[in-house]
Amino acid sequence: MKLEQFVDKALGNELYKAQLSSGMEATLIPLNPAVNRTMVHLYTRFGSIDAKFLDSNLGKEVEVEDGTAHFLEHCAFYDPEGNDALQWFGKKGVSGNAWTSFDHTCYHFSSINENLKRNLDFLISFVTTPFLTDKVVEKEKGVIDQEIAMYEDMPGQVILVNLQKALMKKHAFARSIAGDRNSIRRITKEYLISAYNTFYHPSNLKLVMLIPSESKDAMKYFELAEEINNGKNFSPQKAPEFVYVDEPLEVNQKKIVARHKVPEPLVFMGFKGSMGMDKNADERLRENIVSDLLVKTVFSPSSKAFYELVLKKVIRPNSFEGFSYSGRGFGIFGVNGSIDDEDKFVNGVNEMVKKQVNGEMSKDLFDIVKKASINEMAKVFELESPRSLQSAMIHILASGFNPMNYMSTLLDVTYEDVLEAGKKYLDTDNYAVSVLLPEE
Amino acid sequence: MDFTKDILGNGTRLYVYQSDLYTHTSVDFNFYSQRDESNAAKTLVNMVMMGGSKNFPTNQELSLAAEKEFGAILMNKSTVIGDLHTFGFYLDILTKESLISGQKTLENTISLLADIIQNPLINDGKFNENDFERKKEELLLGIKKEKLDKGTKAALGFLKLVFGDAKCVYPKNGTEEDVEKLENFELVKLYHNWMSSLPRAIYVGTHLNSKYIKEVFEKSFDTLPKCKGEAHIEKTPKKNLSTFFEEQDSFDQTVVYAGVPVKVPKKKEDREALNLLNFYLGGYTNARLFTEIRTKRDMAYGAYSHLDLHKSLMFGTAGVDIENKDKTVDIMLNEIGKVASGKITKSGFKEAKNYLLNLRLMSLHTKGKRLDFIEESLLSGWKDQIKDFETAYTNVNYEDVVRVASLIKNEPIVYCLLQGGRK
Repeated sequence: MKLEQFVDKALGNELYKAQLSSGMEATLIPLNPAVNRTMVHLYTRFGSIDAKFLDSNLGKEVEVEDGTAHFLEHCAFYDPEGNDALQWFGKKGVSGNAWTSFDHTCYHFSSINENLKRNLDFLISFVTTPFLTDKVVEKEKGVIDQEIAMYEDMPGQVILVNLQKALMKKHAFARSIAGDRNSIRRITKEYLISAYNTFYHPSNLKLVMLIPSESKDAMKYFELAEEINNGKNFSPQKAPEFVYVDEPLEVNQKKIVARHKVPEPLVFMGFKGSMGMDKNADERLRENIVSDLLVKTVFSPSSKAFYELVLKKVIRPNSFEGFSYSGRGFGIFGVNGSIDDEDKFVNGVNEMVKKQVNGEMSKDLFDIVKKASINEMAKVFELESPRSLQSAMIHILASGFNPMNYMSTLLDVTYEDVLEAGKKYLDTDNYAVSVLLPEE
Repeated sequence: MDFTKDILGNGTRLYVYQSDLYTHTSVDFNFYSQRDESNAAKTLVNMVMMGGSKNFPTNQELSLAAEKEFGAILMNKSTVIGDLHTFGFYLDILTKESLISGQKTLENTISLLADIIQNPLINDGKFNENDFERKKEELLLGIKKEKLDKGTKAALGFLKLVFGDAKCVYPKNGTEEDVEKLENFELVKLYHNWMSSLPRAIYVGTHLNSKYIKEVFEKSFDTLPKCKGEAHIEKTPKKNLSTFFEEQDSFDQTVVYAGVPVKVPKKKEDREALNLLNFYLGGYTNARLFTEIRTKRDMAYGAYSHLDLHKSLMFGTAGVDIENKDKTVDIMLNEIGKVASGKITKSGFKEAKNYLLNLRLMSLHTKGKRLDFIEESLLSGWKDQIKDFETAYTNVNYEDVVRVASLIKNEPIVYCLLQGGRK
């Protein structure tokens, strides 16, 4: 087994990678050995954007209901005998969980630095062994129904899903990750099995280990993973073929308005970023970082443009924030806020954007924002919030990037790069708005 | 747990926990007072102070100054614990020299904080009028937003059922009426009064030397008026003890609260046992509530219990469909009843203890948990538990949790926020 090593000189972190015999790719990021927390993840490249895929068994294109990847996450949480995997974790004093995102589903556990072999074996076992019965499917419908009800009571969730729909004409990023209460009722065992067989083979599963360890011991973790994988006797299977659509530049809908429990209008204004998989990983990573810095600079609360809008009462300083979402073949970014008049907000942001992309974007501010971004990455490795580290690493890896290239790429990005991206993507004639108005 | 305790020349308590694991320094600068109608004024003065200071006259300049320090996080905050209201500031600063080429981020950021606290922009006895009006409006909107939030509404509804209008349930940011009454010049008077009368404490988690930390604070806060005393959480007031209430709102999900009063033990060992008992009941995904409500019956996404020692309450909560509300209440009260009568399985206890201990071990390195623990222990008068932070719960055995079960009074209180669908 060949072990590749990657080093981030700026932060002093390392990453090791190897391909296991089963086809599974394994990654190790050694953490500070003084910390008593091991975090292991097994993720599949299957998320809400993979609503259409080529079924490996049927050999034809299949389209599934909204929320299928998330539903499958729930159903996968059973061991080969049909026992709830959460219960196993609980009995062993291990914290197990999972999440579904736009482009991946991740199963993980956190434990003290003991019993790694036992825990890793169980994780790989239950994820790679389906227990998809009619009973399990019906059971999880009840739980997911309440999960969706919980999200539907959150204005922040509802407004984002609407923005996704408003932005995308064809791309499945328009679909809600959890689906809705009608779509999950239509999900069948057959579709779940089809998705499972296509995406849950080791050729599409990635093992990511965040383990307090010394670099010299890295190989032993890969040997352990290899031993466990070999014991499962996986039959060979090609990695799945993903279906990527050509998403047009134009947004789908200018505006979607709904009502919710908000005291005044809540507005999410979004722009399409780089879409598609035609560029290589390094190019896409750079684009992601450029977009991120663009959002942070243009919509920075430290900018004069921001303060002018505050004084004109176009935005409220405590509720104005830039955002960006990106992943395997998609990217969006924008800004959200609440104010008494949504049109005033949108016009104000457009004016702010136009001025900045036409040359008023402060280079000094860009330099400051860039340095602050270095801090953000440094902070996740401090492990004050282990979840932040997990999220950041899995997101970067699932997008096809190497976390150890992040810092060097960030340091290389220039003001001119960001200004150019602003001119390209912050098109004030091509944006979508999602608004929540107060209930009547 | 070893941490340093100091008192600055201006009377502010300083607590520093140091570990070489950290690359950042976090600072919580807190003012303490009673939780009551003045919550709104305290929150507002806190917000207005972030609007600008003598050396950074606008919020934009303040924000830029913090961002220059490698993106230091600087924010105002307002919270409640027991019958106390806390307002203040939170800082998080990258201070590891190897990562920032030796810049003095800590000193610069603490100076910035000191300027905000000691030198807010006050002219002719008033804060900047535009800032004041803007922050007042933001605070009002924030209160309205909280009233519309399902979780906040349900939690408050349950607590009001138990305590009525007692101060210990007063909203942390006050009410809309409290905010509307506030005048600029009055707020300035309150600011001056609070700077010299309210007890203050600073909690720092860092890799830097505690002596150096103290020096930085002494130097920066040289004009802060002297304060006296320490804050303490007082006893929970007598309960109203209405036992049942339901109300409806236009949500998609029903929230259930079911709880009972508990007697708060004086001994640390008994508090640990009671906490472990609560964990067994509803602290994790194999606990009684999660198992009976979600795992066996698929009625909720999550069902957990909480022990609030400052309010002497143990309660379960879950979000369910209205059809399952009564069943959920029955299950919660049944499980609480079992626990209250000491019907705890040995295997369940063993598993819960193991899980809780492991969870603690996994997060022992975090500064947030340690500092929160120090603060709560000091405010509550539970200093005895601080030294045993690393080994807490290890000596709690099955007999201990059965014994402390008698502290739970099986007098159920149920509150339901019923769904009504989106309008």
